[in-house]
Amino acid sequence: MSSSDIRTLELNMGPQHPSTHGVLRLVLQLNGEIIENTSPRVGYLHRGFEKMAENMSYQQFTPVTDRLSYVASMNNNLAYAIAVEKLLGVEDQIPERAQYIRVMVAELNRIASHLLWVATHALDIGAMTPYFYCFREREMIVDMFEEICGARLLYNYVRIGGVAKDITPRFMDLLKEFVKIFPDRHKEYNTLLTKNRIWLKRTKDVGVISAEDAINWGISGPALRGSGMEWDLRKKRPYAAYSELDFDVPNYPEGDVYARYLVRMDEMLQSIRILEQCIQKIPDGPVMMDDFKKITKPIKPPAGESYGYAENPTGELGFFIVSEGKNKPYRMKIRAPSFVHAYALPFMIKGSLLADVVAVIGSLDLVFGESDR
Amino acid sequence: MSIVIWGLIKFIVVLLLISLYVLFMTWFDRKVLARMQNRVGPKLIGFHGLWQPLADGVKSIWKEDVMPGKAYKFMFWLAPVITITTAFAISFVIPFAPPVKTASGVVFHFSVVNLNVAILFVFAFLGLSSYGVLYAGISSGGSKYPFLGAQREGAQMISYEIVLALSLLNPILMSQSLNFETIVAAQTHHLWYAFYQPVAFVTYLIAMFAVAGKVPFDMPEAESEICCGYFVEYSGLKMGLYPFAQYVVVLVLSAIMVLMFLGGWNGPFWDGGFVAGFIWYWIKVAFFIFLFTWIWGTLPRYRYDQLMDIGWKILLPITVLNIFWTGFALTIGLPFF
Amino acid sequence: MFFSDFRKGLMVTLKYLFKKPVTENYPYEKIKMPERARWLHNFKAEKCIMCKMCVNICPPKCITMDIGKNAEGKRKLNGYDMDIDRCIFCGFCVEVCPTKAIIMTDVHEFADSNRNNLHFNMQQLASVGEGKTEVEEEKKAV
Repeated sequence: MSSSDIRTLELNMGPQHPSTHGVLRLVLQLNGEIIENTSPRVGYLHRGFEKMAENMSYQQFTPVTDRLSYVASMNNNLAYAIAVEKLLGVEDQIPERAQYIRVMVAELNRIASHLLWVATHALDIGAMTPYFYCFREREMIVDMFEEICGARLLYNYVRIGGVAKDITPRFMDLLKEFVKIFPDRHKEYNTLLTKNRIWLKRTKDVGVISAEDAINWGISGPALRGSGMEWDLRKKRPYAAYSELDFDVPNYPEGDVYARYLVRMDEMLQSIRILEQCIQKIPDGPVMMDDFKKITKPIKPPAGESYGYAENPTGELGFFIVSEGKNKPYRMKIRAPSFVHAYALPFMIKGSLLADVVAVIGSLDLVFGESDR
Repeated sequence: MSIVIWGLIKFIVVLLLISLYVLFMTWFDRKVLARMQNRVGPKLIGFHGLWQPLADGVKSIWKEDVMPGKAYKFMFWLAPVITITTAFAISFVIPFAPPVKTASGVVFHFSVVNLNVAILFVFAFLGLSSYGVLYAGISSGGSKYPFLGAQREGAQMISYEIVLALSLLNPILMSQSLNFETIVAAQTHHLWYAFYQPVAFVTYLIAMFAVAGKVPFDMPEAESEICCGYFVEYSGLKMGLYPFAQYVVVLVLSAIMVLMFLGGWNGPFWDGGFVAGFIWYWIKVAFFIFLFTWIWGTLPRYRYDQLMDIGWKILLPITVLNIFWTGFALTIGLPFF
Repeated sequence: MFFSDFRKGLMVTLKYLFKKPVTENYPYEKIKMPERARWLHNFKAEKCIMCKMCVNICPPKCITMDIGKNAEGKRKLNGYDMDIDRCIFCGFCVEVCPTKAIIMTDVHEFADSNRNNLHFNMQQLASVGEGKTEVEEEKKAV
């Protein structure tokens, strides 16, 4: 056999593969088990959200944003609300209590999303038990959300001009209990994963991306902080009540899967810190601006454009809205972090082994509701 | 003639016992894993879901048996048969209880055959059992995940059976026998071989997980990487035979561990007698079977190349050096040997 | 030293082996829904003023309202259908309703293998959560 007869093995990974987290399809060119080339195919979950936005009133689109990154609905709602508020020029008039509630639910949802991420990431690498431990804690957060908005996954809670309903005393009790017990549970995940030698071997020096490359690929969020960039929109471009709260931005310079894992693990503890401060600081007052209390009242922003963003668990989620002065946007562009990350994947896994692909996919926290929109 | 009849009776009894054990074992595995993960596990069918494995078995019998259109039909059928046959074959040389001297002076062995070369027999059939997996991989009609799984299994079996064999060579050298009962008898008079051979004990323990294909070395069937590997294309009863064989191998390897390193049916106290021996033996075996489940519930999975590194670069040199040390110690007659 | 990382991990799992499971015994023991639970709708035709706010706000457009005329020439509600198959349970229809004619109950077990059974008409919607709705209604009216 001459060398020209040696071909690579083309392997379709996904869209129904257990560790592509939804519907990512990767066409891998394998040399043995070494990845020679990858081409990601997205769009299996395309629902046309950007076009839908053009045919809906601004308020009607809020429940649709829930369906972007369905593990972090609160954060999606928040980013969208900020974008519309900027377009209206009312971002300074949001009631203080609403801002604090927004921070609380966003941070809780960040923990929930990261927990789900640790769970599935660990499952991809073969550790089964952390999955159930993480879901146990996530369940507490979901119960809290069910208490305040009635839904367990797609909340439709953070609205334009504030939040839908005030939080209940039972929510505060649940939150205080959660804040108390979570650090202990966090230690358990650390015992099972962080110092485990197999975990270290599987994640260290895998899927390395330098800070420069990460910026060039448009990577944001924990994946960027895992490359040593101290970039967090909550800190650099504060929104909601983040400017009044004290927290650190964890970042690790290695740029590998392990660094991204550590960033997310540390972020959960920082979120707990933010929640503790919120419990202390939350003021009384209304939770919704009077103008937006009636959701049937049409919003007619002046002609113009705005870009609203938020630091989502997956990365920077942005809504770019162009208005013509009507009650529907002329155009809405959604900047989904998962979409950007999915296309940096071939760069990160080139030359590594098949088993590393699942580790790297896991470390980027790809959510395909968001990527395919 | 009576030997043949006794052999047949033992054969059938062991076959039934092992089948029963596997059924119970699937329940045990699921229940223990569930409780470790804060879940309940099977609970609906029978007392705490004890009949769940039977229900699963009935379900897998009645399931539609799908075969890929391009599959090599004969090999596709043969692969699970090889796997299950070799797994049972190994279990026939394992003693299930200490031997008993009957009134007439004949020793009754609680194994189907009390071979003098039992360990060689075990290795021969462990080696053959990987053919079942390899055939499954290449007969699945060019399906790529089974192919990768079979590749992994082939490499893993080759590298870890060497380690397994070399670690068992130390007790064999010390007892000068390949018969399980003789080796156990050799440990009766002094300490168990695990205390003389801690290194071989640990290397066997690691190799045991790799040969059984259990976490953290379950590369051939890594469900999150290659979607269960070699038996992706199998369905129904044929697929059920692979985990079935794996459970038998787990039992056999645990039993060998106890027989070779932990004194078989000798206990640290309350020694002697058939009942005591029987209880001690099965306590120790059950611990190792539990250890498989326990580790499954705790550890992540190694990567394929890291598994090879551990096998060839760490365990193999260590076991070879250990054999030199054992030979040296035996030759000059060190007091503990 | 001596696989301390493995030992610590194994101890965590062993600890939970002897603890009570945290799961719910769901289909046998029903879960208590919080007060704000957003589940199947209950519709009271006598309260409806036919303002069509719910029809207009509904993002997936799953509500259809049939308004006719009665003998005296007044507007009359002939039908009020909800295609629960399309409903996304956002709760907007409940929020906009000025007379609380439509409310959300905690009835959440309405899965069906036939899609047509998920089209709820006025009579079906009126009987959703029978027995509980009055209490729910009181709560939500406050």
